Amino acid sequence: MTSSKTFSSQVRRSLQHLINDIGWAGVLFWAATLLLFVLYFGIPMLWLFFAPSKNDPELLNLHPLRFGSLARYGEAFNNLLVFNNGQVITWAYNSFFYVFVSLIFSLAISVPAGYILAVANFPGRNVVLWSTLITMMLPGSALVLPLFLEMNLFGLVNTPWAVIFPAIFFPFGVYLTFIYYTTSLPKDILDAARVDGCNEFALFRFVGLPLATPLLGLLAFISFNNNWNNYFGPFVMLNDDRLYNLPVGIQALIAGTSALRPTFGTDLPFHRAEAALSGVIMVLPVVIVFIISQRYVISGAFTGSMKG
Amino acid sequence: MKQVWKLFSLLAGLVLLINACVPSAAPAADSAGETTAGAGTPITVWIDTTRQAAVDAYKKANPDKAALIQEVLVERGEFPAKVLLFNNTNSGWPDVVFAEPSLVGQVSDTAHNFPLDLKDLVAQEVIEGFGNSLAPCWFEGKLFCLRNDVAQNVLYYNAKLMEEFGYTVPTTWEEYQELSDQVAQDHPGYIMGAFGDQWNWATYFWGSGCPMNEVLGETQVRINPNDSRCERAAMLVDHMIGNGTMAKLDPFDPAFVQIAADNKLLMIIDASWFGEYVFGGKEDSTYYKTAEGQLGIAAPLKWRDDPAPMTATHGGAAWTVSRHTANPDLAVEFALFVTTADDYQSTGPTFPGYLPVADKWAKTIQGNALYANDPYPVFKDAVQYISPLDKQPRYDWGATTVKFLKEANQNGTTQLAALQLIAEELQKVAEAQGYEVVTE
Amino acid sequence: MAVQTSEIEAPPRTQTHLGVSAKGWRRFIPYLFLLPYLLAMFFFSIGPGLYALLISFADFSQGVPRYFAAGISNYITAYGDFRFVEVFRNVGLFLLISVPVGIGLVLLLSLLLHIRRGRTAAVLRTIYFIPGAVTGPALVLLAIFMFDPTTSPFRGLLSALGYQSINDVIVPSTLPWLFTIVGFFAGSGVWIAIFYGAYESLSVEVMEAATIDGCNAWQQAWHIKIPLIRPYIMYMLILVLAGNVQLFAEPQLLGVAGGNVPNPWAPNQLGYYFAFRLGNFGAAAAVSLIMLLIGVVAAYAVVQWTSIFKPESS
Repeated sequence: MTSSKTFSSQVRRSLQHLINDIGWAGVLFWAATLLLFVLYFGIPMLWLFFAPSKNDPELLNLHPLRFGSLARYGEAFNNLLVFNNGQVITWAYNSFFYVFVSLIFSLAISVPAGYILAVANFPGRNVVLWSTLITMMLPGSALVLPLFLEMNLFGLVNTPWAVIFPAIFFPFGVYLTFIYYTTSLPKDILDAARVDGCNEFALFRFVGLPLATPLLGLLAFISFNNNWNNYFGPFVMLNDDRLYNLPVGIQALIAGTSALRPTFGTDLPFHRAEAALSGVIMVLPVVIVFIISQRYVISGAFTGSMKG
Repeated sequence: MKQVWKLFSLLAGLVLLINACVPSAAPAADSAGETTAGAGTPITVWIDTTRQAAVDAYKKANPDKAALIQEVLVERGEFPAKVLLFNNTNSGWPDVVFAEPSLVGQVSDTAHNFPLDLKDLVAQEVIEGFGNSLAPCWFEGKLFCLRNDVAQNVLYYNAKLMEEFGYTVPTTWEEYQELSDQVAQDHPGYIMGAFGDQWNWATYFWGSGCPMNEVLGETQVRINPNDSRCERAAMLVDHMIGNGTMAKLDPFDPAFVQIAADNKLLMIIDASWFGEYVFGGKEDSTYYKTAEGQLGIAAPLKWRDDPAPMTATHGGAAWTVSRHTANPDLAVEFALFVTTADDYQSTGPTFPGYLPVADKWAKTIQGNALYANDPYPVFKDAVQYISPLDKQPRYDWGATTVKFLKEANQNGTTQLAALQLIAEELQKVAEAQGYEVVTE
Repeated sequence: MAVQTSEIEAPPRTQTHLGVSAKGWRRFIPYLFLLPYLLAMFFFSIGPGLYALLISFADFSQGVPRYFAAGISNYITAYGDFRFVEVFRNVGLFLLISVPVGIGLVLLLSLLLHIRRGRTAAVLRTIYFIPGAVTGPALVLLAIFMFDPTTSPFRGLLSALGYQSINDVIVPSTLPWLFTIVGFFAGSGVWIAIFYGAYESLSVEVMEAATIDGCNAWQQAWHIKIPLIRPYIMYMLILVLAGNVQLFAEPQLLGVAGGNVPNPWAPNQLGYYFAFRLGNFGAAAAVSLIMLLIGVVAAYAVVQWTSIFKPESS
């Protein structure tokens, strides 16, 4: 379509499409619901993004969604980053390292596992499927001591590996991969390829993986999100604050100040603005990864595989 | 698909690059359990954000030993949990920890078995210098911590309003209650106290000597809600909630802050650090706006027939030393420095636990135009009145207390009735924690 | 577990497969695909899980486990605790509310988003997802400010409900709803994105065929999209059930934020209390066992129940 329509007429046209599709009442319902939830999710986040711009009295007295001052924002930023020679930066660095390494290893072992569970039948297949489900339900609090002792056995306590290795086990990803391949892989292709003499590895490489783009996008951000926000594992395993990731570090930093509830006095400039800013800092990378990975989810929509 | 591979190899390369730069595993200090003991062994100190200044002060005063101090920022609420984990691997304990006495209590039971007895390692004069503030650090004759600061409760009042209304500052609880009736009649809407969280509860109940959670030993605690000292406190609180002078809020609830901002806060009983950090002594700690020369400080109240006042605390922490430390001399020296040396405590944020240095700390607040009278003598006096009940047991008494306190506030039932419910549940909680509960 | 339960558990028989009859070394290929994963499972999940089971019979009064010295006394400590029934009742209430609400709303929102794919959907999906990235002190701060009628942007709504202070909002009776609100706020974005991705992966041909046949968007959603992504719904149902039984973060969070949140409120908090307050890891393991069993039973029930329905289209 090369006709040059104005923006408003484009909007009018897609609105018309929508009305044809689901009716007037449908459009109203659609718009109202989506908008309602934009408010539900969005307003608290807006508050959080604006909070570092206000000092404590302003946070209590000004309207919650008012922006305070840019200067206060800068001050909060400074306070947070300058503490103890920029420890927050070290923690951010560590977070990225732990998350990326876990991500790569966990995807590398989970995708093949989920794939083969979906396309092949072999003794023990159901056992693996059920084990995957069950291990997802193992309460973390029960595993704390055993995992700690195990890491200690290998001498890995207080090293980055004590954080990374447990995160490599990604049953959620395996099961998601399994479901993905069972619902979206056309069976004829596999048969055709096998008849042609392809072995399983080649099949995976030339058929399975290319179709996995949306899946990888999904898995990447889920893995990133889980590991980025992981508090308990690193908290248990790490005793050196130079190795902390952001959640553990920020918790240690802020809990020792009066930023949340003044249960004791302190001279340090950590107030609610800094606590809110720490939240903003933690949120931004996740959002970026999410946006990038969503591209893959969409672009990988099912095309071409039925042809040729 | 090629892009996915490219992305992956890029990430892999990035990982290898970062790996070359990321800090490697911590040095052996954290597994100092069985390594070489002696004067040259470094010690690990667990601190919070604010205590970085303490460590820096020590390093400045002792440059030759500065390299031996390795401080780690931690969230101290989880310190008992970490001790348990270390006990299981028989290594990794920190040498000195900054923690509240209640946390020290938690790690002093048989399962944790963490603190070192400092009684013979600290000079007697020093121990005496702490005075009453050291009380929560004694556990069955053993000294398990040194007090960092103490947050004794005193009576804050609005001097200008008191003068304007023609009231005298009460010295007994009975006068306090009588005054509340007058205020309710003449100036309704003015507030004389907060009653919304466990610290407020302690203010009134431990300030009356009420034997709830009275720690008698490692395995014995007294919980007696029917004691007359508990009843008199409960009736006082209920009376004042009834006549509207006691807010059913904690002091940091935005609604309470609003009361203070509207200049309706006539008086409140709370900690020594409230002056600087809540009433606006420090520039950026403005919770309650207070005009200059307005904040009066008076001694804690006493019950008329009691020999002396009793007061509770709202905070205050300590330093504890591990029994597993490989360098006890340095660890104890460090702990003594940060609690008693002028270098740090005299300019610290809150009232020091060690009284001789507190006299020097006085200078930091005495110049403040905020106060209507000199706060320091009142603070200093109040330390001796800290109730022996203000020593927390290993179980979480606050959670249970707050639950029924808030329920009573919400439903309009009395705090006297709530006492029974609190005691009932506390008994079960205490027993689950291995205490024997007595009532007499 | 050897029973073929639903369609997704076993691939259709018509296909030639790398099955048991494969010759020689080819028989082991699936295990090669699985090996790294199985190793990880053993070292980081099953192994520690078995050890946890072992120490549930150990005595911890000395701080370190003395194996088998406790017999079943840890179980008695755990199940006999005066809060045991209460915490499971609390979490049961929470499940009753949060599971239908969670799944229903995730389905609704993802379907609505997919009606008009493109930039709007992308932006909205991101907005719905961002809250899931907030944790720690920032989340505490959010809870404090959002639930307090004096500071919240939602104060119109809160005062309309009659709440004057945060102590009115956070009371034991409202807790299941509050935890649902916070949990949905933080956790639904991921599932909405997953479901959206699932719709994206559905065959374009089937969708086009349906449109040509005269299906409007609602019919498409109800009769085609939902049944086709049934495995995802099942997955979410199982995980949400099992995950919500292990509720932990929200009660801890709201407890710090203010109001009246009893502690322990949920079973996982009770387990945490046993482990880290009493030092009794054995009793914590005993509580975890119950939570695990509930999750397993739920999973089994869901899988069995959905096998009753045969798929309409393929």
